[in-house]
Amino acid sequence: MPLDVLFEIFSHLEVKDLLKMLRVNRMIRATLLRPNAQSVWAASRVRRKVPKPSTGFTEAGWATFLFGQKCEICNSMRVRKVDWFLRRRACGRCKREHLKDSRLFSAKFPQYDMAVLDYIPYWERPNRDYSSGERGKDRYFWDDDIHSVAKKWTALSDACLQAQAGASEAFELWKRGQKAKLEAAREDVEEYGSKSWPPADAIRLKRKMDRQHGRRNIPKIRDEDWDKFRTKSEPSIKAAQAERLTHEARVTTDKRLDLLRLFFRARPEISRFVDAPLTVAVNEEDFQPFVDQLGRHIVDYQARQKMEALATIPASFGLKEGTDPFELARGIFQCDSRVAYSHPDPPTETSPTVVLNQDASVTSSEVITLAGLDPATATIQDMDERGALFVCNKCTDSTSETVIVHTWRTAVYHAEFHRHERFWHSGGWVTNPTTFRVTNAMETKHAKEMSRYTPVWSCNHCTYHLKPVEAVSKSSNVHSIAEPKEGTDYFFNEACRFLLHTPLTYEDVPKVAVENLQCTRCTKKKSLKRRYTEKDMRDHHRGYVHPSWIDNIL
Amino acid sequence: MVLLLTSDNEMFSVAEDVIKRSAYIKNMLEDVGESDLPIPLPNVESNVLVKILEYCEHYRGEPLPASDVDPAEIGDRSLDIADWDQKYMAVDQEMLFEIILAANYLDIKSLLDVGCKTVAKMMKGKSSEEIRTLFNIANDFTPEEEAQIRKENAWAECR
Repeated sequence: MPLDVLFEIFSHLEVKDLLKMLRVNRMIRATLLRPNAQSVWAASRVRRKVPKPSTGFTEAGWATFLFGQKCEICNSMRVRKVDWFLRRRACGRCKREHLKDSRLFSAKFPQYDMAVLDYIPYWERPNRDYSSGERGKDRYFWDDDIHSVAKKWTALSDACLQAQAGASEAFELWKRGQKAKLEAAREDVEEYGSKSWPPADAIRLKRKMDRQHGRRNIPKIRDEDWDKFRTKSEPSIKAAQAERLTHEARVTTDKRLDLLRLFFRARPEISRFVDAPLTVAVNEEDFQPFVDQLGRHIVDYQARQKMEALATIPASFGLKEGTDPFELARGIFQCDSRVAYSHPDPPTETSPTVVLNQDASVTSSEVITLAGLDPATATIQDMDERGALFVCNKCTDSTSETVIVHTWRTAVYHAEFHRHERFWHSGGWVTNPTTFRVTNAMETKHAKEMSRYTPVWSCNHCTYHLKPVEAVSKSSNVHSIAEPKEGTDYFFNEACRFLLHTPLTYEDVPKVAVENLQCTRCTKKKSLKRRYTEKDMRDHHRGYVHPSWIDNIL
Repeated sequence: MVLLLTSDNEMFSVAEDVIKRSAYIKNMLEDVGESDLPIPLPNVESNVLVKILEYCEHYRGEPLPASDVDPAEIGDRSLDIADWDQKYMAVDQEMLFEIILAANYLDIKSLLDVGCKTVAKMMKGKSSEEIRTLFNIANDFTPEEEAQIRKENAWAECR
C-alpha cells in the first residue's frame, strides 16, 4: 500500500491507537517512525489539543512519553505519573531498583569519572538526614543513563588525551548539548511537573469524582484541581453538606424527643389530657400549667432519684455519718437496666433506676487500697488527683508481652465488664489471686507516653474517636462548627483510653514461659510426666481451668 | 461518454459528469480533450471499477470537495461516516483495500477519505494483537525486540 494512503489512514487514529500500531510489526513500526510520518503524529496531537513536543522529543517520542500507561522497564500497568526530569515512565519498584544515589557513585561505578554526573538527568528529593545540620537535596541517577552517558564521556575524553584532531572541540560540543538537554528537561519540570495535564485533566478530574462516589481509593485533590472546579461545584458541595448536617442532627433530636415524650407520657398531668376521650378538645393551654412547673418537677425528680439510690446502700457498706456516698470513690452506682429497659410500661415516678453496684464497690475498694488511700474516706477527687495506674492480673500472665494499663475508673469498669466471663475467671488465677496490681515505673512511663497517640477524645456529634490533636479540627472541618468547645462538641473519653488495646512490649526484659504446672485430671503415666505453662494449661483444658485441676510443681 | 479500459480488459462507457469526480480522469480529459480512445486503468480491475462507478453515480451532480485540506482542520477530523457510505463500504476486507487503492489511483478524495476512515474505525480501540488478527499480519518482532520496544523512550531516542 502506498505510504501516503497509509499515512492518511493513520492520521485518523488517536494517539493511543498509534502507540499500539507501533507494536504490530516491523514494517508498520518503521513506517510510523519515519521522519515523514511526523504529520501523522502531529494530527493526533492537535486533535487532543496537546502542545508541541518539548525540546529533544520527536513527535512519536512525545506521544509515547505522554500517553503510555505502562512502566517502561517492567511493563507493569497503570503507571500514570511520568518523571519529567528523567523523562521516564517507571513504576516505584523499578525506580527503587534503577535509581542510584549520587553519594554511592564512586563505590558503585568506580570505572567512571564522577564529573560525568553533571551531564546526566537526575531525580532529587530533600535530604532527610538533618543530624549533620546540613540540609540539601539527594540526587538519584538512572543506572542506564549513567552507563550510556559515561561511556560517551570516556570515549570523548580518551580522544582528548590521545590529542586527536578536533577531539577537544567535539568534547565541548557534546557537553554543551547535554547541558542543553538537561536545561530543557528542567523547563519541562517547571511547566508540566505540577500540572494535572496531560492527559486531559478534565478526564482525570472526572475519574477522581467517580472514585469518590464509588468510595474507592479516594484521591487527594490538589489545589490546582480544586481551583478549576471550585466555582462550579462549591455551591452543590455546600448544599450537600448542609443536608447531611441536618440529617445527622435530626437523628439525635428525634431520640431526645422520644425520651421526652416517654417521660411526659407517664406524668398524670399530661396523660389525663392525652388519654382523654377522643371527643374532648385538647389544646396548648391545657398543658401550660405543667410546663410552667417543669423546673420544679425536674429538681423533685432528681432529688427523688438520689433518695432512692441511697436506699439501695446496705449496712455492710459501712457508710460513716456525715459522708456523701456519691462523693466516695467506692460509691459505684449503676442504672438498673432491669427496670429501665425491660419493664413493659414507661418509667413511673416510683421506678428505682439507679442502684448501688456492690461488686463494683468491692473492686473500687481494692483499687483505692492499692493506690495507698483509705476506701472509707477516699473521694473521687482524691483518686483522680492520685493518678495511680493499674494492671489487671487476670488479663496478664507471667509470659504475656502485652500489658493493658488502667486508671482507677477504667479498672472498675473493666472488672465489672468481665466479671461474668468464664474464661476471665480462669485466666491467671493460678498465680495472681487479686484482680489488680499497681503499674511499675516502666509501665507507667509507657502508658503516659502512649496516651498522647491514642484516640482518647470523642466527637459529640458522631461516633469517631479522635487523637488529641484532631479534636478541634474534626469538629470545625466536618461538622462546620466555628469555635468547637470541649465538653460540648468533643470530650475526653476516659473509658476509651485504656480499654483500647495498647500493647506495650518490653524487649529488654525477655520473658520465658516456665513449665511448672501439672494437670491433676490426667491419669495416664505418660501424661503425669507432662508439664505445662499457664497458657498451655488453659489450652489443655480448652479455656476453663479449675484450681483443683492444677498442681504447681515448683 | 468516456471509455475506460480496466486491467482485465473490460471496457466501460461512463458519463463524463459521473467520472469527473476522479481528478485523474478529469485532468486527463482536460489535457487530451475528447477522444474515442479508451482511457487505460492498469491498476483497476473491472469488479473494483463497478464499485467506484457506483459511488460516483450516487454523488453525481454534487460539488467536488476542495483539493487542498486546510492544515488547521487536521485536528478537527472525525471518524463520522455518512449512512450511505457505511453501507457502501460494507464489503470484504480485500475489496475495501482495492477500493482505497483505486480511489488513490483515480484521485477521488472523498472516496479515499471514506475508505481510510473505515479502516481507521476498524483499528480504533483495538490492541496490537487484535489488529494483527484483524488484518492477518504476522508478528515479526523477536522477544528481544519486543522487550527493547517497551524500554524505549524519548530520552533514549534523542540521546
